[in-house]
Amino acid sequence: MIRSAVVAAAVAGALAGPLRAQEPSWSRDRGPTEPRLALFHSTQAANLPTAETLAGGELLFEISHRFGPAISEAEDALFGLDGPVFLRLGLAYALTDRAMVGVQRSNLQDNYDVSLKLRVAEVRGALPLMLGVMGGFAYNGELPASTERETQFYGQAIVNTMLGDRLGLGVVPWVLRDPDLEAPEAETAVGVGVYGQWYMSDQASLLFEWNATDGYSDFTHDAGTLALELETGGHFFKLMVTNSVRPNPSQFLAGADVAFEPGEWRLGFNITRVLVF
Amino acid sequence: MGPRAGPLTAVAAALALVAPCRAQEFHVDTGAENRVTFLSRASIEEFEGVTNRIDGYVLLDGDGVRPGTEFAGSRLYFEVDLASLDTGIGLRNRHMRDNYLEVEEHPYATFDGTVDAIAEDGAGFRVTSAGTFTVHGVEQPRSLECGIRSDGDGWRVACSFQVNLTDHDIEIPKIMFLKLAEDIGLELDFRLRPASGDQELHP
Repeated sequence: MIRSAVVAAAVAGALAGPLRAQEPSWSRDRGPTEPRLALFHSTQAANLPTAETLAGGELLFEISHRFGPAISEAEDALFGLDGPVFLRLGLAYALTDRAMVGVQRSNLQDNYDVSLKLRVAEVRGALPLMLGVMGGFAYNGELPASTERETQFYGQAIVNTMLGDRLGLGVVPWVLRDPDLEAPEAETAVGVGVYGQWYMSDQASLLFEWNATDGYSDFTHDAGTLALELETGGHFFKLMVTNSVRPNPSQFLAGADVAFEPGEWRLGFNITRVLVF
Repeated sequence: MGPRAGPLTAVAAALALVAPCRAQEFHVDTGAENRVTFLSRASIEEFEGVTNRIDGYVLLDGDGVRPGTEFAGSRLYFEVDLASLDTGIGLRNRHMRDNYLEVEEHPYATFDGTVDAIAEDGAGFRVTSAGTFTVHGVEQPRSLECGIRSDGDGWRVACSFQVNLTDHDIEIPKIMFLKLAEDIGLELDFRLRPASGDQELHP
């Protein structure tokens, strides 16, 4: 009798095995998606590039102004807003998630600029790093008769990091061929730009940028910029004061013709919009 | 207990326990062309986010997908990997992830519930379920109605419903730029396949 009970129990146990299927056999076999490392939100500081790139297939349209008169000319030039204005229009396209090409035109000397930026590497960690390079070619269509040199070339290495969650830092050593096209001899200029951006909230940040040069020809001063950046899902608005009114990279990198002093500060802004078609 | 009561009782118990063996388990086929879409229609901008990263299971008690069957022991669970949502603009993706959904802390949107009823609906069935929808770490009771139809050895499932972001403590910036709608439309389209090892479990 006991043997029969044992057999029945064994059969029941065997049949009951699948009962455990009442508990699902499903289990998660992969973790959540890890978004790629992102440090600076925008692809550029005020003038210098960040190592950030657009996502492949995205377009970036930019319109930037630098007002010629100083803010100190409050009565005569409405804090500089009366102009004249140095204007840059730009369009960039991301070939991939790591490579973007840009075309931009500055009305200062009709400077046409073609550039390529690559996001080379990212390193996660307590002190994350993002590295990039950028190179460009500029053609100047409007120059005095005193010079026949119309073209410029430049290259930039970009190192970005983030301290904590809020403070982004960048260093951009650069080289520029022909910083001053009106100088009698061609020159090769080198310098280094630095910037820091304090993200006060998800959509507002303060930006400081400094471009140190050796002083070439008329551009004997370093260029400094203080900016407030506002961002939305596809726009960046940068409102700034600066001593540099030279919009395009081959112009800005060379330096400024006035010092970064409050009496020389100019107003300016950049507006960019990401577009997807 | 009588002399024969021992084995009979044991067999009866075994049979009682065997009955639920008819339970069928299906898993989301993560290799299929699944699609989860959320649609935001704000006052000045309309956009959608898309991902194929949905996973989960359906455990059906009773007679499987049949109208009128009992589902006392049925369960279902789905989860969507929110960090994989793509709105078409990288910067907007980051805003969605970091500012609104806060996916680092709450990586999944989930629905955990039971099947209430199955009714014939044309060539397929309409499945009604009740459970808990969780996003941004905030749970809300919700009923879900999905259409299913046979798809090979499994099922193709389509569901759509609205989610109020405020109900899930998702903050929407109202001062600067209102670009995210208060109510988000969610559409799920995915495939279920029999869980491996349950070869006898066909729809």
